[in-house]
Amino acid sequence: MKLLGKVLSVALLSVSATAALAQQEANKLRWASTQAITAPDPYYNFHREAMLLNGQLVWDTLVYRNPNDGTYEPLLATEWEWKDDTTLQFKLRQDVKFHDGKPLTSADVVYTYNYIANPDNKINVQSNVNWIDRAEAQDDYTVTLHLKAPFPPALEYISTLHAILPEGFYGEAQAANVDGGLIGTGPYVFAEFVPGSSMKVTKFDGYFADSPKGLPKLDEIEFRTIPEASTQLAELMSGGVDWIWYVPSDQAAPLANRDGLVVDPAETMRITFLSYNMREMEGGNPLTDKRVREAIAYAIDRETIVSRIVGAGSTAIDAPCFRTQFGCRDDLTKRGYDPEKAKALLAEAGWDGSVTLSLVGNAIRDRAWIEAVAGYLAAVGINTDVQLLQWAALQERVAGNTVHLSMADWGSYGVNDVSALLNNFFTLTPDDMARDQELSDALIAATKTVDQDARKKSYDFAVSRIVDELYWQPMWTNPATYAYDADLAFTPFPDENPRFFLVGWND
Amino acid sequence: MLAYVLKRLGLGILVMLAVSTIVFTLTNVAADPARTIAGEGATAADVEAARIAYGFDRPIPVRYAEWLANVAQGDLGTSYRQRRPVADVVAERLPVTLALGLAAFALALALSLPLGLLAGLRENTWVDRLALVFALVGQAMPTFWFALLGMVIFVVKLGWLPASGSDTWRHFVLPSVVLAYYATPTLMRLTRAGVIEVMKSDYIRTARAKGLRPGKVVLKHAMRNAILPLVSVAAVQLGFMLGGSIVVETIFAMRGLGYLAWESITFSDLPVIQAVVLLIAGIYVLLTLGADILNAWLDPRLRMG
Amino acid sequence: MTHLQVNLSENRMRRQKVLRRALSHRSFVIGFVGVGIVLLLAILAPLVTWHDPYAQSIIDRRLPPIWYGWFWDDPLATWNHPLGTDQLGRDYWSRLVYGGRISLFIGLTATLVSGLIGTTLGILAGYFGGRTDMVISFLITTRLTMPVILVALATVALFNSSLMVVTLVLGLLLWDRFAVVTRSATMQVRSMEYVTAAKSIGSSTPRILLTEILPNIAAPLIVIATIEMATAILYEAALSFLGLGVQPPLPSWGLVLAQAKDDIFFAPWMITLPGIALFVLLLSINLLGDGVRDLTSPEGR
Repeated sequence: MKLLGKVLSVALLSVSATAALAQQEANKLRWASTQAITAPDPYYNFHREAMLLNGQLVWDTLVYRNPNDGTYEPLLATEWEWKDDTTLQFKLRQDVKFHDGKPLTSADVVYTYNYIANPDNKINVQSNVNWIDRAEAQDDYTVTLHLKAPFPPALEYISTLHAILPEGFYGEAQAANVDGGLIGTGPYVFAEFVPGSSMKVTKFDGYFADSPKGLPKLDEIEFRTIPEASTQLAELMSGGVDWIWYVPSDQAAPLANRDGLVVDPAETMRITFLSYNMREMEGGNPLTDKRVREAIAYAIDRETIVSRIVGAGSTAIDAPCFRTQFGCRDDLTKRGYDPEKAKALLAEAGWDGSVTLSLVGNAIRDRAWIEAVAGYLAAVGINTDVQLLQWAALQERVAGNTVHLSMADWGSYGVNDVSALLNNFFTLTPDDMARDQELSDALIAATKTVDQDARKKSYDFAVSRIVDELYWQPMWTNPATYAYDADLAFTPFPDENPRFFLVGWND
Repeated sequence: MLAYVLKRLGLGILVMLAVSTIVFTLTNVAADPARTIAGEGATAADVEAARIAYGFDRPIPVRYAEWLANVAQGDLGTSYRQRRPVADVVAERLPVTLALGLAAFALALALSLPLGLLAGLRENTWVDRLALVFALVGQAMPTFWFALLGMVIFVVKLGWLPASGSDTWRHFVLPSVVLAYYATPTLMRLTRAGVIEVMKSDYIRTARAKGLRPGKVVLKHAMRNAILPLVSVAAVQLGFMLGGSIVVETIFAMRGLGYLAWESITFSDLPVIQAVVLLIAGIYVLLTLGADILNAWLDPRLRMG
Repeated sequence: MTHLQVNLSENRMRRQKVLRRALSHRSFVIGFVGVGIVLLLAILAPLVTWHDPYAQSIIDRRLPPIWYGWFWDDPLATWNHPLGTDQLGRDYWSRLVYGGRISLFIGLTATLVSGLIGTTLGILAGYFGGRTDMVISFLITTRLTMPVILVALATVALFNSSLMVVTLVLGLLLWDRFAVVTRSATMQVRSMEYVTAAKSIGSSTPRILLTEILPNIAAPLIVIATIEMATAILYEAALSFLGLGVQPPLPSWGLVLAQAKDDIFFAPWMITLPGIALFVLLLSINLLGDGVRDLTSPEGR
C-alpha cells in the first residue's frame, strides 16, 4: 500500500510538473474563478471577473490608479484638471491606437461617457455612473466631463471602473458585438468568448510602451468559470489551471505544502460587518434597546474567529470602513470579547431569551463564519434563526424589515473613499436599517463638496456615530487567498483586483 | 396508429402547458427579479429603476399571458443575466447535456443489461448477489460525494482525466460514469425482474420442452419480453438524467443545461429557468411517446389498449 | 370455544411463519437492523453522546478522529471527541447522532406527505376510473414531466431554504410513484369478491376505500415508501450541496456532508464520516424495502 502510494505520488508530481512547464513555455496563463462572465463587455456584467479583471486587459481607463500607493497616473489621458467643482477636463494621448488600428480620439471618450451615463442604457451598477451629467469634446484630444453635482471621489471611479470603448461599441442593439467587434486599447486583444464559461485574450503588439500598465508579458491569458471550490483545487493540483483565488482558509495550509504551488493570503478592502435593525418590527424589536446591541458586540470573539476560521490575511476591525479609505478613522470605542459583560448588559435590559433573533447572511460566503457568530450569541443566551440567502433575497429581507441582524460584506469596488461604502447603507434608502437622519445628512453632505477638510469632518462624525450608536458591529477584513504556480510572478493588492497585465512567468 | 400518436401529442402539449403554468407561478410569486437584475452591490434606487424598466410591477397573470403568447410565437424572451435571447442561451447549452445524458445512458445500459440478465438467469447465486450489492451501493451514495471521490483518484492522484470543462471526450468520461452509476441500479433491477418473470412463463417452458438450447431461448424470447417495461422506464430515466445532471455539471463545470439551470436559479433569471424546465419537459414528453410507440411496435397486443 | 382456540393458534402459527420467513431473509434482516440502529441512536441521542451537538469551541476545531491517534500518533485525537470535531469545534459524533434525527425526519415526513397525496389520488383514480382517472392520470403525467431536482431547487431558492420548506417541497414532489402504484393496485382489487360484497351490503364508499381497498394494497405501498424515503434523503443532500438544503446549525447528514466537500483532498475523514452514515442509512432502507417486497410478493407467500 505504501509502495503504491509512492509510485502514485511520483507519477502525479511528474504529471503536474510537465503540465505547468508546458504553460510556461507557451507563455500562457490559465486562471479560474467561481463566477461566470455573462457578457463580453465591462458594463453589463454582474461580477468582477468580467467587469474589472478581464476588462482591464482589453480596455484602458483615462487615468491609472497606482495599486501600490493609490496615486493617479496618466494612462489614456496625459493630464487632467478640475475646471470647477463639477467640470473635469482631460487631455488625451495622441499616439494610442485601438486593436483594429483606429486612433483613439475624444469622440470615443465622449461616446463612452455619454452612453454609460444615460440611464436609458441601463448599465448594471448605476451608482458607479449616476453622478455624471455628460461629456463633450473640446477638440480631437480634449474632453470635458460635466458632473451633476460635486463628486469628490470621481477620479477613483474614473481610474478603476470606467473603461474607454471605441465609438459605436454597442451599436443600435445596445449590446456588444461578439464577432470581431470587441475592440479596446488595452495590452491584450480580445480573442474568444464562450458565454458563461470562458474568455481568452492574446497579446497586443501595438500597445504603447510607456503605459503604467506595462507591456504585456504573456502571449495568452485564458479565464474559465469553475463554480466549485473543490474542482478548482483539483484543477490547480493537476496542472489544469495556473492561478485560482478565494481558496477556503482550511485548505490553504495543506495546499501550500504541495511542491510547485504558492499560497498567498492577502488582505482586501472588503469588510464584513453585522448590521443591527433599528426599525420597529412586527412583534417588537429588542435591538432598539442599545444595551442589547452592546451585549451582542461583547458576546462575539472576533479575534478568535479571525485567527482560527477566517484565517490569514484577515484582521479584526473596530471601524466600519477600511483603514486606507478616505474618511476612515480608528480612534473609536472598542468592544472586545467579554461574555460576562454581555450577559450583564442583557440582564439589565431584561432579556429573558424568549425572542429568537433572525440573522441573515450571504450564501456565497463561508458558512462557518455566520455559524460561529450564531454560536457565540447562543453562548450568552441569544438565540438566532440563521438564514443564508442569495444577495438579492438578503437585500429584499433587509428592505422588507423582516430581519434583526444581517451579516454582510462590502468591497467598495476597490474605491479608496468611504463614500463607496457607507453611503450605500446609511442614506435612508429602503435597505438602510439604521434610519438616522443626521447620519444620512452628514454622509450626503460629504459627497457634495470638494473641500477635503469639510468632508473629513463629516466622515469623522459619521464613522463614530455608527460605532457609538451601534448601527454596525464591524467584524473583520476579508482575505483573498490566492494559490498559483510557483513560477508565476504575481503580486496581490488589497482592492481584490489581480492585475494580470503585470503578471508573467519567471525565467 | 396515427390517431394514437396524435392523441398522445395533444396530451403532451396539455401537460407542458400545465407544467409551464406551475413553474411560472412558482417562480414569479416568490422572486423579485429586479434585485438580481440590478446586480450584487446595487443600491435601492438601482433596484427600483430595474423594476420599472422590466415591468415587474404588473400582476402575474398578465405577465404569464404575455409570456405564453410570446412562447407560442417562438420567442422565449431575453435572459436577465446575459441580455441575450433565451433561445440562444439554451441552444448553446443543449449539446453538452445531450452528449452527457446519452453517454451516461449508453453506459448505464451497457452495465445494467448484461448484469441484470446474468443476475436474473442465475437468481440467488453469487453473481446475483454481487449485482445486487453493486446496485445498492449506487442507490445509497450521494452523487456529489461519488463525483468528488472520482476526482481525487482519477484527476489529482492519477492525473488521467481533466477535472472540469466540456471541450474533449476526456472531459466527459468522469461525469458520464458518475451520472450512469446513478441510473444503473433501476435499470438493472428491472432487467433482472423481467428476466426472472419471463423464465418462469409458459412459453419459455414450452420452448425448453421443444428442446431449444437455453441460451437461444433467452436471447430470442426472454430478452425481447424483458425489454418491454425497460423501454418505458429507460425513457423516464433518460429524461430524469437530463434534469439530474445539475449536480454533475456544477461539479465538473460543464456548459450544459443543468449548470445553466443552477446559475439561473441562484440569479432568479426567470425566463431561462422557465425555458429549461419547458425544454426538459418537452424532451420527456417526446421520449415517453417514443417509448410507447416502440413498445407498441415490439408488442402488438399493446396497440389495442 | 374450541373454534376460537383453533383460530387463535392458527393466527399465531401464521404469524410465526411470517416471522420465520422474515428472519431468514438476509436483506430484510440487514436492512431492519441497520434502520433500527440509526433509529435507536436518533431516539437515544442524549444518552449516547456527551457533547451538545450545537456547542462550538473554536479553539478545538477540526480535531482528528481517534484513529489518527492510533495510527499516526496525532496528539490531538482523544476519546473526548472520538470522531473528531467539525469546522466550529463541535463534536462530530454528537453532530452525526443528532443529525440522524434530522435526516430521518426529512425522509419520514417527506414520505408521509407524498404518500398521503399519492395514495389518495391513486385510490380515487383506480376505484372510480372514468373521468376521475383521466384527470388524475393527467396530474401524474404532469408531475412526472417536471424535473424534480430543478423544480425543488427553484422553489427552495425562492422561498428561503429551511427544514420545513425543504421537507415539504420534497414531499409535494415525490408522490408520483405512490399514485401510479396505488392506482394500478386499486384497479386490480376493486373487482375482488370482498369489495363487491361490501358494496352489496351498502357500505359507504369512503368506508370501502379505507377498510377494504387500502389494507389490501398496503404491501406495495410500504415498498414505495422505502424507495421514496431514500430518495428524499438523497435529494436533501443534493440540495445541501448546491447550498439550498436545511439551514445551519441543523446537522442534517446531507448538510454535514456538503459542508465538508472541500476537505476531500486534505482531510478526507471529514467528508467520509457523514458519507458513511448516510450510506448506511440509505443502504438499510433499500434493503428493508427489498425484503418487504420479496416477503409480500405473491410467489413468496
